[in-house]
Amino acid sequence: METVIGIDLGTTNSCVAVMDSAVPTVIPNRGGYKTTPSMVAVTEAGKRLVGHIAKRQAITNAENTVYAAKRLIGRKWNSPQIKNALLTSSYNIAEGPHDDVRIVLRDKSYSVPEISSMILQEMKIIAEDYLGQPVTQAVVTVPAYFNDNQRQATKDAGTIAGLDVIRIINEPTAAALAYGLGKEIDRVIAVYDLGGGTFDISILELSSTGVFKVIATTGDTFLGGEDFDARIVDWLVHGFQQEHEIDLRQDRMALQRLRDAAEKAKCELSSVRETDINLPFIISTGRNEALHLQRTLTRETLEGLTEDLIERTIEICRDALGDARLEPKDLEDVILVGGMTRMPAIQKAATEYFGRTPNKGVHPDEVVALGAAIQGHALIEDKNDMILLDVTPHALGIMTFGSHFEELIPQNTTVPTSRTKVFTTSRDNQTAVKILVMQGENDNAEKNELLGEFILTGLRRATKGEIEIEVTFEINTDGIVSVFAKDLETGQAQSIQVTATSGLTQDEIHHMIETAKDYLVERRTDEDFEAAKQEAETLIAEIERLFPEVEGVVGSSDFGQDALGKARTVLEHAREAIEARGAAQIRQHVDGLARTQRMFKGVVSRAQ
Amino acid sequence: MSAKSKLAPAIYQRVDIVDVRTLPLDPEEAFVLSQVDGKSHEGAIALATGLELDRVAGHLRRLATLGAVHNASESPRSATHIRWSSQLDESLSIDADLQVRILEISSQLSELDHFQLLGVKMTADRSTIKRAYFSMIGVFHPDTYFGKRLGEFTKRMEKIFQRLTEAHDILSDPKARAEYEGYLAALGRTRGLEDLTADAPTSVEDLEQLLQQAEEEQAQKKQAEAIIAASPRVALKPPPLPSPKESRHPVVEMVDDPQSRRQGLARKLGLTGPSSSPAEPDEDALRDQAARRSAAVKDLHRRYKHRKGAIRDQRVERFATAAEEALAAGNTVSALNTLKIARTLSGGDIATVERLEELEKQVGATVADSYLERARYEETNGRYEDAARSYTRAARGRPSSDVLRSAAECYLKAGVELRLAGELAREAVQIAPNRIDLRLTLAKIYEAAGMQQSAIRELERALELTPDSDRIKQWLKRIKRQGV
Repeated sequence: METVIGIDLGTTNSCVAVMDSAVPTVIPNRGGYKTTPSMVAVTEAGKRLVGHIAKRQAITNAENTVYAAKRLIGRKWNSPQIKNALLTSSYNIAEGPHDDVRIVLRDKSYSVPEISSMILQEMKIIAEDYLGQPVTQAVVTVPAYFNDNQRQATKDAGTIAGLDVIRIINEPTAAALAYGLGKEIDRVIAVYDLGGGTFDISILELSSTGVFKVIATTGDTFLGGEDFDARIVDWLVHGFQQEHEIDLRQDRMALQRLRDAAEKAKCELSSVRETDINLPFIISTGRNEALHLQRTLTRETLEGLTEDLIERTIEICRDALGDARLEPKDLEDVILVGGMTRMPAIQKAATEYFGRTPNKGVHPDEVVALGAAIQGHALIEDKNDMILLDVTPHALGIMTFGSHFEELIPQNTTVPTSRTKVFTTSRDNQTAVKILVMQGENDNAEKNELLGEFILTGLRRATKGEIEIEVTFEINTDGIVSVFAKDLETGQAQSIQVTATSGLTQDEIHHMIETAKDYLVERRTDEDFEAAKQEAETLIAEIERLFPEVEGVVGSSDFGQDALGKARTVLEHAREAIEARGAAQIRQHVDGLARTQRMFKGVVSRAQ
Repeated sequence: MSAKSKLAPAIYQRVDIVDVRTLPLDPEEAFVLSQVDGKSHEGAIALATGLELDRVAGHLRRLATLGAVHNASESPRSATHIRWSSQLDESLSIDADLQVRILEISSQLSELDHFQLLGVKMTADRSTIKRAYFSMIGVFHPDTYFGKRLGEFTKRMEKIFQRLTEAHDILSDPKARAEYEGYLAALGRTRGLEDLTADAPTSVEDLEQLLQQAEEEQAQKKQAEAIIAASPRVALKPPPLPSPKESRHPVVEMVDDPQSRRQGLARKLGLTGPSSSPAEPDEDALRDQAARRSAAVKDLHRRYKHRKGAIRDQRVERFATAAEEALAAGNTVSALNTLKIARTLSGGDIATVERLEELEKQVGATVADSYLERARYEETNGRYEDAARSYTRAARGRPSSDVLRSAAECYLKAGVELRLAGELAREAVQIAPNRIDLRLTLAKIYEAAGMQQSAIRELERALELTPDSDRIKQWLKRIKRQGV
């Protein structure tokens, strides 16, 4: 049976897991880490770096290192979130051709799904290395509060990475799966998920029959660990400005160092009460005088800086429980997910609000990927005895006359589902209606997300209100939204399958898949080449080291001269192969080099 | 299963939906088919038809292949299998049994209430409902068969799933469940009324039958009431009214059945017995006898008519009382049912008609409450068109400007029947001409229907009632601007 991997594509870190003989297992990367930074960089030499290597060079290459791309995925260029990102990002963000966002790295422009695909590809390779076989199918998680455009963009990223994303599932739901697997319990739980970039709260009902039913879910896609870091950065920048009257934000490298230091300090404060932030030579003044940043951050100060963020998460929890028509006391367990939940103030706030100590049995960084792997495995298994019932995180509807948003499928409706409503024409003699499919909760349609549009034509000319149009929304098991419009008089119908706009056209995605493939080949050969080159170069160096000595011993005889000439040829060919960057060619010469080296060694040892 | 059928003689059942006239049968097969009643086994049919057992068994097998009968001693599902055979798809990766189950439930989705759908009793507690729901999800959620070929069945399963989830979500929320139960009760009561109007008795025969049924029902009800006197609970579904084709019991004696009437007359006139032996009667005697007989017939006829009238009056009285009792007991369907019978029986007696009309009004008022309850539920669940209809019916039972307005507003929300909505709103305005909100509703409907002038007129009248309203002024301004 083919293996399906589960990928938690996080804002700051990503994680991949697989079902290994019925046990969900997180796969460590080559460095031995269970999570990989969601960072992508392009070096001066045009080399792509993903994960830890990208993170390590982020300070010196801040302008060409992308972090937190998840915050940009599936967003429109004109959205407030992008405006905000433009102000704070150390990399360059530009407008794309379809009101989407592009990231410019060394003069080359990348779409956000492309950047995410590089991370997914890395996770795919980690899994393939571990499993020793190719992987083509994956379940990828997204924040529960992601809209359809963001989900579609994530799916596109998977496609570009050469993965068939068989299902996109919500992060808190995945966490609940990992929590409930094999427990066979009937229980109502809450999953509080504060990740690097997003906050989600989901209320679920677990059934001993293997059904996981989401009752309500809500969240904020712009509230996460990054915002906590930003508060610390602000605090540092502000303090520095007061002291030196220099705005560190103007210097990209300084900003990147501050961000790193802030994240590190935040993490440390989860276990210690205070920490020193030391950034020597943070910036130099106009008079070539270096300035240092040195401050002590206490846990209390951090809690003071981020109090409102924590309070905001609790408010969202309150909304979710309200939607589920439950009280905190109705919950039988609370799971904390995401690295941010290690912060004592968050644990305290959650304990206070839910009136119970959160469950300590799940690993906040790994549980989501594990859940994704479980779902993937359950889906392709012949006898699937685990069913996940998730809900629509946002309402779906159409725009009516006067920019009014008319909801058809409410928030928190269990999918699959369908709803129908009858609408009428808004003008006299109107012969066509435009159906604008939207997602969101705002009564003002323009404030919601446009998912797609189509036109129903051929209506009879009549006074307004006379022609009736029946609109049906349908969300199927795979989460695909279809909208049908029917002229009730003529029975004429139109429909679309809403392929949410990820900001990429099918052609573009196709092209990116091709590029990603090329890149994959290039990269694999690269690795091969590096290894071969290293092996060959070691041998060459050894031979060259021994050469004068050998020459001294055998150079006098014709036979010796002949041998030395052959050795030179071997070396020359090997160097040519290295020059040509062909791993296979190098390997052809490694044997010759090894033999020459053995021979030389023999000569030298005999001579002594 | 075949081993079992060898042990016990096969019992066959007719498949009702098959029209036997369309089948290629020979007379003997048809004869055998006529004896199939779901109870008699092959041997019994052989005895009844006088045919050999083997022959009968052969015919039955052929009839089963044709789909006219099915072996009731075999799987009970085979009948439904036959019913759905045309829609089964062998190329799919789910088996025929499951396909039949899906088709069967799909076809009943609109009829089953939430309890029936989940297969639980109305008294089932929350955990029973959850158990039923979660176990059904395992069967009907498409993910159970992920990656398998499901064809059209994916959609069907999704529909079933949606209904199951709706049922679960409503029944596991105490407030929503109470509302739903109230709705079911109201639906039961009002649906009974709709059935009644749909099947109004047309002929005397139907009426007599209805009458008898009603009497039986009353008697049964009395009995039932005596048993469950402690907690009178409204039946969710009213006892179905007999369809005219159903069990035609011999009706009351005095109907215009010539045969029985003649016999009865003969008995009364003493024409039976020895004297009737054919003698050689003289002409006068014969004429005399004829005259006497004619007078007697006339007399009898008069007496019969009188008695019939007396009985009828008695019955009208009885039904009217029954209707009053039913009304007092809160069983409006039954009240209206009996009332209808009484009315048809009464002929045109003014006092009776008046009394019945008064009663009808009372029944209407009670029914209005049920409709109102139903309408509110439908409205809160976004079924505006249904709600509009229920509100209208409620208003018919007990005219109220508020209810009329709700009906009109619901039609407007549903975006259908704007003309009707206008009529209802106008009616509401007539009841309470000084209420501004009613006029505004009417104006809104006029506007939606594109009748700007009428909307303006209505708004101006509203403005007369409340000259300072900025809202109305602005509204007027807006419409007038659009008009230009």
